[in-house]
Amino acid sequence: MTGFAIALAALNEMKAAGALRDYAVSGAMALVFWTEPVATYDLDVLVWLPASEGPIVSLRDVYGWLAARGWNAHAEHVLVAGVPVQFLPAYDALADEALTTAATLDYSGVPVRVVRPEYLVALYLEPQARTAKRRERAAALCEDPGFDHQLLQDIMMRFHLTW
Amino acid sequence: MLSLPEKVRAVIELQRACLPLLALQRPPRPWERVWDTDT
Repeated sequence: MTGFAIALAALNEMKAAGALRDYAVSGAMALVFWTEPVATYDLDVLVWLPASEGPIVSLRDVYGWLAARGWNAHAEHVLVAGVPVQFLPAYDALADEALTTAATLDYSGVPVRVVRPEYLVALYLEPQARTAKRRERAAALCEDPGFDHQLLQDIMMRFHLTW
Repeated sequence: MLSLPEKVRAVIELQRACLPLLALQRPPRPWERVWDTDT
């Protein structure tokens, strides 16, 4: 198995082991699943963590599971089989919905959950996420023949997003 | 249409091409480097 596939398989193993409740590849690498390759240096992964007793969200169990396999955290990334992975606990209702509706795709025999393009665009349009580069990437996603413009309109209306 | 592994290989080629340009603008962050993986 190649390094990128190992990193994706690790996500499934973490879910099976209960280190995380669910995940979906997001950000620029999710875009690569749906459209053309772009320059990016990390693999963003939206996650739901197991229920905790306190109000503080902690990636401790995730980092612990990875460290037991020799993949250690450096600041906000973990180098998994040569791929810097950033785990992003779902931070709002839109991220929750993006995770719920993620598609299960196949990468060299490894099933991988990936945020759908309409939700990637919506996440890029959130006020805290808006950058010129992301707007450009959002526009590229919208040009894909399979893109569901009606679904994006629905999401944008419900979450009060604008171009 | 490229396969997914071909696309990931293309991402790594883009990393190789873009990193020197990025380094001209600002110091790359620790995780901004070419993936050491065979895709």
